[in-house]
Amino acid sequence: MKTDLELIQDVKSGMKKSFEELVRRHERFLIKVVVRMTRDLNAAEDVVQDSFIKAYKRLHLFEGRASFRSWLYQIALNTTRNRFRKTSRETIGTEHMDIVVEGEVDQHMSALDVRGLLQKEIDRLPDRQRTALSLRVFEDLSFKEIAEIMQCPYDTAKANYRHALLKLKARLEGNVALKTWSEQPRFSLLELGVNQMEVDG
Amino acid sequence: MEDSLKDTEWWWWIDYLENEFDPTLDKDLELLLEHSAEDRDSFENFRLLKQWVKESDPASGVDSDQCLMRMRSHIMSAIDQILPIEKEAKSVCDASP
Repeated sequence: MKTDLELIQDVKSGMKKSFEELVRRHERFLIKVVVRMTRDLNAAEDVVQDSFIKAYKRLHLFEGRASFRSWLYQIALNTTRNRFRKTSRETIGTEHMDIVVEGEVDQHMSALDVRGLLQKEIDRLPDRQRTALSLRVFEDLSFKEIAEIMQCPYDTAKANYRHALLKLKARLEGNVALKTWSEQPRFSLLELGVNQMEVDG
Repeated sequence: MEDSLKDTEWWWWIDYLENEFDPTLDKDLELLLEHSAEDRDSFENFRLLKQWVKESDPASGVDSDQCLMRMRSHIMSAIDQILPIEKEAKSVCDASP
C-alpha cells in the first residue's frame, strides 16, 4: 500500500485518480472533526468537499514536513472559520455565555440530557483545550499526532488535554452529581440510552 | 476546584489513564489505587468522565458509507474540472506579478 506521500507524488505528476485514495483515507476523520465544529452535517459535508478541493489545488505547496492529515485539518479548520465567521462560537463568544443548567438535576437524567450537558460544557472549553480533548477522546490520536495537528509542542498538547478534563470534571461536579454517578460505575450513557429507549417505546 | 489536591496531582491520574505516566512510577500509583478509596474515586471519576465524553460525541454516526460516497463523488467531479496539478500550479505562478 502506498504512503500518503507517495500518493501525493503521484497526484503531483498528473495521476488525479490517486487523489481519490487520499480522500478515502481521510474523509472519515475530516467529516467527524468538522461536524464537531459545525454541529450541522450538511454544512460539514460542504466544508469537507471544499477542503479536499482546496487541498488538491494547493498540493504543490505541500512539502511533507507535517502529515497530510494535519495539513488537511488546518485547511478544514480555516474553511470552517471562513464559512461560519459570522456565527462561529468565537465571534458570538459562547465561551463566556452562561449555560443554563437546572438547579436540581434529576438523578435519572436521560441519555440525551447528559449528552447535551456534556456537549455544552465541551463547547465552553477554550478552543485549544476542546481540540485536544476531541482529538484524543473521539479520534484516539496520540499526543504526538495531536501536537502535530495543533502545531504545538507535545507537552502543550498534553497540558491542553489535562486542563480540558479537569475543567469538565469541576463543572460537572458543580452542575450534576458526578459523585453520585460514580457510585454506580457501570451506569453509563449507553445504558441510559437503552433505558430511555425502553421508556419511550 | 473544591478539592484540596493540586492540578499537578490530578494530572497523575489523567496521565495514568492515558498510559502517559512514567512507567517507573506506575507501581506507586497501583499501590495508591489498592489502598486508598479516595484515590480510587479520583481515578474512577476521570475514567467515567472520559467514557461519557466519548459517548457524547456529536459526530457519532455521521460517517455513513452513503454520506462518504456522496462527498467523494462530488470532490472527484470537481477535481476533474480542474487543470492537472502541475499546470494549475504553473498558471498560479504565471498569474502572480
